[in-house]
Amino acid sequence: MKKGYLSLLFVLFAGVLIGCSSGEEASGEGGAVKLSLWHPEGDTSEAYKEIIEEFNKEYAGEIQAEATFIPRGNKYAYEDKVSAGATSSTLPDLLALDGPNVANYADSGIIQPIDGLVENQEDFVDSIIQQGTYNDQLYTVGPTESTVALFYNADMLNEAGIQPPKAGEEAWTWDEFYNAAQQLTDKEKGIYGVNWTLDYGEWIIYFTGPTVWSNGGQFIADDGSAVEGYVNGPETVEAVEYLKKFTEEGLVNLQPTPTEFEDGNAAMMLMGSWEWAKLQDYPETNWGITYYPKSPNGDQVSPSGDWNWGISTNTEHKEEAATLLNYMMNEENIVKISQVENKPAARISSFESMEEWNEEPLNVLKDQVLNTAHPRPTTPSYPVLTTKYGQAVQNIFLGGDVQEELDKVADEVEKDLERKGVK
Amino acid sequence: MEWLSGKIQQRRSIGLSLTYKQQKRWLGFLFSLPALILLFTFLILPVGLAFVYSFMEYNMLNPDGKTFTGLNNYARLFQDAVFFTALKNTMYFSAVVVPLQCAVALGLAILVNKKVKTAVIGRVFFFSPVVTSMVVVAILWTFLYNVDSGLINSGLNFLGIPDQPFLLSEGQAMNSIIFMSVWQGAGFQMMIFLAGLKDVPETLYEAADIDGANAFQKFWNVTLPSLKNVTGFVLMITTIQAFRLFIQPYVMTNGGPSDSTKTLVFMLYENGFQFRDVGYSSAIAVVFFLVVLTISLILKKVLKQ
Repeated sequence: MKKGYLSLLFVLFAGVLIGCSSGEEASGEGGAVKLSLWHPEGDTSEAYKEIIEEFNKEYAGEIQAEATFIPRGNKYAYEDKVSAGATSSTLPDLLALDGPNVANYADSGIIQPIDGLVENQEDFVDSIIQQGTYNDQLYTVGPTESTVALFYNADMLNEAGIQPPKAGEEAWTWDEFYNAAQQLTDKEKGIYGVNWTLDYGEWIIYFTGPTVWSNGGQFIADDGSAVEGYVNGPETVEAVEYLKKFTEEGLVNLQPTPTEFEDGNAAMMLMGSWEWAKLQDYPETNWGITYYPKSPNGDQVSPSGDWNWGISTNTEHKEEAATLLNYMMNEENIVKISQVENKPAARISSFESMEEWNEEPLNVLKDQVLNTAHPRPTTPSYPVLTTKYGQAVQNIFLGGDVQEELDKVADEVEKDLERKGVK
Repeated sequence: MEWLSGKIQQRRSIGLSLTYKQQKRWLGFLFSLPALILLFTFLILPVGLAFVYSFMEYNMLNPDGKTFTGLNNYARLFQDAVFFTALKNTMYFSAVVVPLQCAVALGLAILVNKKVKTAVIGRVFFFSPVVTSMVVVAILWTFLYNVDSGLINSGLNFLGIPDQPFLLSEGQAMNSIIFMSVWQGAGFQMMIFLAGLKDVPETLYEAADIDGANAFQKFWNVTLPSLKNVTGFVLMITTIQAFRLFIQPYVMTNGGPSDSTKTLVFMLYENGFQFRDVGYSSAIAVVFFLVVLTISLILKKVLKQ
């Protein structure tokens, strides 16, 4: 009897353990191919749910897709989940990823090339294709683009007699922007000249990038083989020195509230293109948008990049995954996704059909996306670069020495490039 | 007697070959089996794997490409300036937090160890931060520490003290975290001290009264010695907890400014999850384990005396 119990228990536990690891079968109802998708939870979740429902209706009996929306926060919770999925080979068939991760994921072999699988590829804006390309192969495409521009409080600028530029060629130079910020700062009333967020995630390299590029600086060599002399090169140092002036002289609040600009406590705001939708909730604030300021030594540049879709190497149904990808990325669905998130569309045909982007103030954002967008560096060492650079810039804004901090970044990233075998 | 051994022989021959003692042992093992399986799967196995991985070059996104590289990760660790900064920060945090938090906890325990209604309210009051999620507490304290509009600076201004930078300053960030950590954590140790205080025999205090001892003398000569075992336990768990400092710097300062709040666990997370360097972060984990083990053993020795 006792022995019987013992073996019974063993069988039970073994069953539990095996049950955990066997996973689900890859076929759904009626023999349809089952596809899984991961995307961060957010405003687009509803749009994707709708699109996938329609897709499942259209392809009933053939393909059945199911999306999981994962909470992200302003840090790297979603990326952590992907890392864990890669370790345990449980990645979905289709995987959403932030633009700068393309190189790292492609290099690690968790997403696969999709060359020739994307319908109407030439209809996508250049920056989205550049972002999805690594080692001359296309890995990802995404529905939307992004940019950072200068939002301003029209009343405050009027009062100070400041005219914001209306065209890209007239974009403020560094000095003009700095003077305006200085003039608009009113320490007594607690009004800051400019607001810029200091999130710890990807934001810092994203929003400071154009200052560096516009000055002729770079984060990494064109062939991706070195950062020494680039991320800490004289042009980059000069650009970051320029930004440091703002924090040093108190033109920017280092611990702003999330609605500092909306509440009228900051006269201008360097912010992402998605912010204009939030501003609709503040009808009393009279605002406008102008171009990202440019270095006196260079052209006007704006940042770019957004979430993308890639096909994971874990998938057994690449063809069906591509069908779903093309369905989600068709002209009509891209309009749907862009409208939910109030983001610029990454397909030119979709973008053209969205009327409000041709008028003030959104035309500035559209102009930047189509004409001055610059992608972030594509390198397998990107996680180290963005983290270390972000920390360095934070230290600099709090008073650290620019050259010293950026030298440390160069040192760390060089070591990582060596370990990744890029050098 | 003869017939008894005959009976046993008979029972054995029909298949039940276990004596009563053996049965008891097997049954005990059987009952602990679920716990043992869980312990093995979620504690012993991961620790063992971390040890193995610490000798490997292992990119989290490419698990099939891992290779043995011997002591490379350890060599790299001991040349990494950030590691020594993190070690120093962790040590500093523990060295300040442990005595401070235990002292505050003991003080609170004595304060609420009264048989009146308000004492019960006090216990709830002091314990509530413990049951609140640390992430929530950390976000709230970030607001409190805000330089321009934070409550703490407003209070200081009211007293005529100028604004302090708190989390924005290399010199004050860690101390700011220490302060809020003590506030958050002391309630837990207070409860343990409180249980210890209930066990101190009333007669000892009565005897001290008769001897004419004052309040401080009673505390020093009666309360403290009676709490010796409890204090040892509290010191031990507080130390181990203090070494695991992660959430506060992760939420409040991101390890900055200038790595002044970067701790060993923060560094482990950063290398493991953000840089996806499993090998290196495993090496950090192993060294972290050894440091905590050594300090626990020393503490145990000291407390025994």
